[in-house]
Amino acid sequence: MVVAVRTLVFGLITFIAGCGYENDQSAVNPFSDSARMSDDLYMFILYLMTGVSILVAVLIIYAMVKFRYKGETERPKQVHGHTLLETTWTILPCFLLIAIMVPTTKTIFAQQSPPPGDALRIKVIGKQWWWEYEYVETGVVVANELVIPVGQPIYLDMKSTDVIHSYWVPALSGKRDVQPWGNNMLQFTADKTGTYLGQCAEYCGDSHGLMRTRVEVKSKEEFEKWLAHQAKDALPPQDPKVATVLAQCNACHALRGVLPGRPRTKVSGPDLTHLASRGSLFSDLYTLPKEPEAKRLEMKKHLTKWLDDPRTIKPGVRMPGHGVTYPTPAEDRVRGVAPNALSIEPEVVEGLVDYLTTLE
Amino acid sequence: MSAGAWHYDPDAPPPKGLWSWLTTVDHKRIGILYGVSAFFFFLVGGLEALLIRVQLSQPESGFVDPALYNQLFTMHGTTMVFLVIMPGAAAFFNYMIPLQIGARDVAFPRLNAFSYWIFLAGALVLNFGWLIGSAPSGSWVGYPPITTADYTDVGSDLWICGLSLLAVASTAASVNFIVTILNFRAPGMTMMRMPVFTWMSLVVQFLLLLSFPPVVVGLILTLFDRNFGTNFYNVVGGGDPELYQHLFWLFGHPEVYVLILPSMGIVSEVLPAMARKPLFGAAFVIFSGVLIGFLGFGVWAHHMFTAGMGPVADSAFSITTMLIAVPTGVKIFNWIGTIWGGQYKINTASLFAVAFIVEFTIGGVTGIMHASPPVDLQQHDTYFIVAHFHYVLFGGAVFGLFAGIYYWYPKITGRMLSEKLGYWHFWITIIGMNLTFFPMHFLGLQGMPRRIATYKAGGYDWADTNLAVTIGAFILGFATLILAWNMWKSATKGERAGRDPWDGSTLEWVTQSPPVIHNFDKIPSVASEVPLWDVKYGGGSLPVGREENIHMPPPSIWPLWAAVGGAMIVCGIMAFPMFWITAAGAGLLIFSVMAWVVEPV
Repeated sequence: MVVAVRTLVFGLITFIAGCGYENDQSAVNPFSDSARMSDDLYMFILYLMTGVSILVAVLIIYAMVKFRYKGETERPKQVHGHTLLETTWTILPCFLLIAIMVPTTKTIFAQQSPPPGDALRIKVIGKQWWWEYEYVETGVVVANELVIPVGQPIYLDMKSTDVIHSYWVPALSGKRDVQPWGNNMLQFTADKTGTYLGQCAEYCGDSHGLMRTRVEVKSKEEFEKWLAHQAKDALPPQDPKVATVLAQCNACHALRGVLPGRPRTKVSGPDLTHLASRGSLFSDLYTLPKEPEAKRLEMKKHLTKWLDDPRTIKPGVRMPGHGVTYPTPAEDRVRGVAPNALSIEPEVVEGLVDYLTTLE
Repeated sequence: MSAGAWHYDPDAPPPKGLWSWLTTVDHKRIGILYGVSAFFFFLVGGLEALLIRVQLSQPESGFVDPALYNQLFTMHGTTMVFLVIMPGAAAFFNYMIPLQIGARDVAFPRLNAFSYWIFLAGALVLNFGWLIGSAPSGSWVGYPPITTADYTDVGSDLWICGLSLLAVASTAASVNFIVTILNFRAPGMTMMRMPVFTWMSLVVQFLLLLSFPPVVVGLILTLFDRNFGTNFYNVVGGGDPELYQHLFWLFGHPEVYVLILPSMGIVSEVLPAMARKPLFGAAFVIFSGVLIGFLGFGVWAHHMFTAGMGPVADSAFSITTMLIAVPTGVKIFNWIGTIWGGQYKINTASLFAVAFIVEFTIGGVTGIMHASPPVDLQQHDTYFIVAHFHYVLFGGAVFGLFAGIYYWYPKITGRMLSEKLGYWHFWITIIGMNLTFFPMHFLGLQGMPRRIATYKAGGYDWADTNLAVTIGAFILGFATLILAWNMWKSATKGERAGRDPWDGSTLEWVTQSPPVIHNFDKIPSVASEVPLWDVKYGGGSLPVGREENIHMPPPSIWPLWAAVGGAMIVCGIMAFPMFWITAAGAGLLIFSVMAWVVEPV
């Protein structure tokens, strides 16, 4: 109950003030031009509408108290209406709505204008239940963590390969559906470096709630440095047993420089080339510590479990495990069929996990 | 089945027993059947909500797994919309419309019974999935591709077939009520003298009649994709799933007004009765209701602002959506005008009517926020939307139905509901409702999407707020039990109501409580929109004595069999390739309808 009261009181204050949501996935804490436009409009309508609500509530409660039945025997004056009054409260709201419509329409066109020529174009691919990002000019492909430069227009060209998803990083932009039947666009310019969280906003099946993402906004120089690093190939594993096992991953995953070519199959999973450079695992399910040794141990723990039985971590995921055999799904017309089990000898697991943690 | 064997005896005691309910064609009994079913499913849908809330009360909870969670929220939404609010309103349509317009029954009593039974069949098909561990899980909007065979199993078939049966029920009922309202009014009752509840119901019937076809088309296309290998929504085969979204919302938005207009009608009855003066600007209220119904067909794509329709379509649908606020605002101010200068009696019904206006306004103004696409891009599919439509549907539609229950229960049972329990129910509901749904606004603004089965501990600050919401939900659940207890107890122990406990102005208060089967011994004639006040305060008079040879339709079992046949048709399609079930069902349906046609009338 204490929690309830505290939530209501704090919430009400922040709701009316429209600020104070300092978490990294807040829609009212904008850090881009586009998100700011949405937020400004929201604040404007919020003030108007709070006024309307209070007016209605005060009027009706006042009327109910003032004109309550006090045991009169005589009935009140039988009024049937008042044309002037009624016409007034038909017309007045129209002005209020025009005041909202004008900035609304302006903002719609501003947010959906064609991208400027210097925009950084990134392809976003939504899949059950993770995100793939492809930097169009350099061909760099990463999963689940988008890195962008501050101050440069970003242009996201989005498509799904299975069901409908919706790409939403509230601090940077409103959401846009990611559909299998056509590309959708988003554009924004981030104005502050930092980490922003987002997640899929369109119901997309079992692990919809786990389809998260994060966006790192870096300075121009740091971004270039990061991009150059991501463009490098990975080093192959030293242990031949690990190399053998790794070949199975080729069915779905890319590991540039190690696995032949980049398989863009129907069932393709995240690109593993720089897995250990990420700040989180399994589409931001686990945030990893920054300190290298702690990070390595944390990754080891989660990856070991993941390779054993991934569906205990992410229900319904198509990744197979070596500790369990999943029922073979019926061939589906969009995504093909994923393998239903991995074959890894238990003694190779640790070597494989160790190798994965070196993919920086 | 020999013709002419039936003779209605107005002095006979009302029939008793299960058989009399299975064969009833009396609009009042059918109304009670709808009402009891709706309340039962209200408890079911509420239980689903509580399970959802337990799961979300803390981060990374494992109370239910995601597969079950998805079934729970899908069925919670589907149940509350189609099996609670719609039949709850239908209960009042059935019971009250013939009484309010001074008719003996609806135009097609057997079709009316058929509507109820096919509704019940649809409700059972929808919920059948719980028994086989595979309830529908495609969310209440059921967008393909998630509802195609690649992503969901038989639950989606049950969902499609159940909803299709409900569509048949609604369509049959809408035709029935349109004909009844247009043709069966008492002498002197012009359209503008008709009670506002009946008016709003008439608008709802047209909405149902016109909006169900598109969604049924959308559903049937999904059914064909799932079972017969068509490619309407298969992208690889050149299909376009976005078509479904348009078809669904072309139904789905008018549906919102199907849910809210009956409650607006109820409030428009309760307020004048309790304020002891007529509805302020009845004509404005009526025409704004008609306008809402009309505009309701031009706004559907505001549910799709995130789908990428382009700036021109976004702007157009944004503007039409905001226009609907005008007639809605007119109603709200006219309701305030009704109380203003009156002598407003404070009781549970009148409190719920006022609470309806306040809570519905909150839901309405948040609706204006996401009528603006740039704002909607942030709010769409978040808990802000969940908060918004629960203010509209719970604070609005359900509060209106609650007001209707307290207002009309005495007419239906002959006894008053306990006001003491009523006050407890009211205040606990107000607290529970606002504690449940108001914090959801914050969650949405803080970035919590809807339909997620779990969320991360730390980082988002969602946990406390979610716990508060869960506490609110349980308070709300407790309040509902008080109502259930009140209705149960008062049915036998409540104070006797008499014909006219509220000093009402409309014709339902002329007759006994509960009314006799033929409703009125003699149909009164009407000279204004407040006929009973004319009699009590204006020197008018009621007819005395009883009409000779009152004719009422005989009971019939055939509507029930026809509904069984209808249910078999869809079950056969679902159990493809067992088409013989479909064929047998079609045969039974045709035979039953033929049989009721040749029955004596």
